[in-house]
Amino acid sequence: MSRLLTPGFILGLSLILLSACGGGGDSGTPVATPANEPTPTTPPPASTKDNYTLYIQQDLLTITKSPDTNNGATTLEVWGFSDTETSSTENKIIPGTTIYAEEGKTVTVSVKNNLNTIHDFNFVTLPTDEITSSTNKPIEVSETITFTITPKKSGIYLYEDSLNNGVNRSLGLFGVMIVRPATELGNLVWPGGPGFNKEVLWVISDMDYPNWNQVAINNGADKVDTTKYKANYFLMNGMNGFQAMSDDLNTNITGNVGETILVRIANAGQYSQSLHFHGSHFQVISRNGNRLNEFVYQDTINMKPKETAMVLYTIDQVGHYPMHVHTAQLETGKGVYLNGTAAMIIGK
Amino acid sequence: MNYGIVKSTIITTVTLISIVVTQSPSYAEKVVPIVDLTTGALSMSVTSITKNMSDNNEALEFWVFCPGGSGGGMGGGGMCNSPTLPSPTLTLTPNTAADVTLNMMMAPQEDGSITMGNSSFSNPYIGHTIHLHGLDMETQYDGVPETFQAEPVNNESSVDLRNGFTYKINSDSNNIRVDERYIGSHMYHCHVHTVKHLEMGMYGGFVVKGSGNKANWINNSGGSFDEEWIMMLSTVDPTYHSTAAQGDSDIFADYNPKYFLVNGEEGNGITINPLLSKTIILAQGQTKNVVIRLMGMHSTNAIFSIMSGSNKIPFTLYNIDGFALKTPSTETSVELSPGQTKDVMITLDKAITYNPQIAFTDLRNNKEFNVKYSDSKVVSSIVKTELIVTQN
Repeated sequence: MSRLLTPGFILGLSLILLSACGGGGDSGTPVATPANEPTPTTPPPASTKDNYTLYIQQDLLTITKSPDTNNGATTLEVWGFSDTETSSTENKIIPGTTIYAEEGKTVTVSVKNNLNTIHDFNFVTLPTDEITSSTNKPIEVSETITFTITPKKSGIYLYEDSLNNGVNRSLGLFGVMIVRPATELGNLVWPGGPGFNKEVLWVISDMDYPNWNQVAINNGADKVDTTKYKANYFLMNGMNGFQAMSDDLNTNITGNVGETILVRIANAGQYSQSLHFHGSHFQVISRNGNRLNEFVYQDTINMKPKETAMVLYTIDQVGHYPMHVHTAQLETGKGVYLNGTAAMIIGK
Repeated sequence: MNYGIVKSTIITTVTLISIVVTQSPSYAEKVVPIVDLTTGALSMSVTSITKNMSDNNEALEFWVFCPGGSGGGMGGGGMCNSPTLPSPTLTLTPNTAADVTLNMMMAPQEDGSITMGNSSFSNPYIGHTIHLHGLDMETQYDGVPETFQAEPVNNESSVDLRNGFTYKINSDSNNIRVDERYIGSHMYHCHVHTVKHLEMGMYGGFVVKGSGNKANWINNSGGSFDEEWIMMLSTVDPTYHSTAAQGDSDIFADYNPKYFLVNGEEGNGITINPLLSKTIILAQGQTKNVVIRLMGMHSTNAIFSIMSGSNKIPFTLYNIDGFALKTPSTETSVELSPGQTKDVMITLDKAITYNPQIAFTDLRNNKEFNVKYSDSKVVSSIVKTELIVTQN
């Protein structure tokens, strides 16, 4: 991790300052606010798009080597909800395109199936009256289905391809929708809720590459023996550990002492992952869309499969700290240490 | 610094399973050293121990921290003082300065060169550190070799943390971290190649205790206790303990937990391991509050509950990760994930036997394991302990 101290970090931090802002406001239940609630200091987020198109694609995912041992570099065949029909060389296929929406406003999501088997598009926790069309409706080969979504409540929502008993999701067919309050409310997590200065998104996942990915791609997802699952890759935002820890733009928690970072977390994998933050305790403010009446200080949060959470991390000391999964074997990528679920926390 | 075997129920010390007060001669005792850091600096070394596990006496090597001594490589105890699994529990009061020095002399560790396939490479995961888990130490004292060099302090950029280091708690003017907020249960462990070194047993409890009239408070807001019971959870995959499991290895991509430990002891399936039994004496009309400190150094999910017969006994959850809940909650079970601590309290008011238990569960479906032994016996991953309350 020390090798991550590159000029790129400085650039990344600058870009985060420009890009990562929250929204705030909905009709949710008011909850207690923490004593150290920060004063929002950054402008509200840029307006969200009204229309998204997602392409169900197959692509390659690059796993980079450990700079400490030179082990672990490989390429994995995966599926994903891509925002482009062309192949990406920048590991953009996992997680799927992030949908940004605003409370009470309608966004349309068109999903086109470019694979040769049936797939679907399904939200794990979004109330059914907030989306038109059945999200469990199969999307035939080459078919496009358009969904109209009018979310009512700020938060993070996991979407997936729910077919084949988790196999399709495990190969990469997942993503999240982030719903923000109206922009005029500034950086509040929700109306009457706590404020924050910046935000990051962590979508974690895992893969049993030989027994699920390769079988599904070579023989069909319905041929996977789903009674067995031995994940050997653990990804943060679709990246192996060393990539993620270098991603100051979208993954790492960076900021000045006193700033509070909203971390939105979704586990799209098959395994629970117990995430441990160094440097400071954080406050858990919501779990699976449920806003907590009392925020809880923790330094570790267990994310079970398909769970979501939002936490607030206030940087209270200068330094470099890891965030890593404490379920130790999940810290690896096919046995290569630190190439599993990880990120950095950098206080300035 | 003061360490030694503690058998009493004195509330100002932390005693591991089991604190058998008296009148239970049929039960052996499992006690782990308590090190009170408020009395001075501590030097710790690393040694290896061998444990015979329940499947056909399978012998496994563990690495543990031990107070004093100069390490004990080559499978021996060296000059360590009574090494135990888990390592000694450290205690400290808020805002009290303490230095903990890791002495690496003769410490067992990974090999310096690793062969993987047809090539060999220098193993970056040699040496050991101490990470004070939950104390939010600054980078310099966080025990993470990969970040240590990022924040050189006191011109120590040339220091290799893994060769031994002095960790200053509250003793550096820039490093006053452990204040009253931290009254509760934390842990410490080696942060080198944790996928290997945690499995090898390099962990112990770290309890921040109140001082003065808060000496027996469960956190800074209150919750007075009379007795303490620490439960350190860990899991063991024997393959991870082999010499082949070093550096980067496919072994670490395939975790198969076989033994499920509380305080380094197996639960023997659903029978009671006599080392996991504790007896508490109540005077007539007396009640006692027992804090159970749950510490997670395992690599699975886990569920804690307190049974009495077939009934789940309610208890109160006070702390998560060593920090107080604003409102303690009444529970009949709590989950404990790897890296978490939770402090719960139960009030004893009658002479019955309770069974605090841990169900270790898998990461995918949160279901208990059933492990098949070499003689085809199937063993459950539930570790049941015993809290015997008697009245005199």
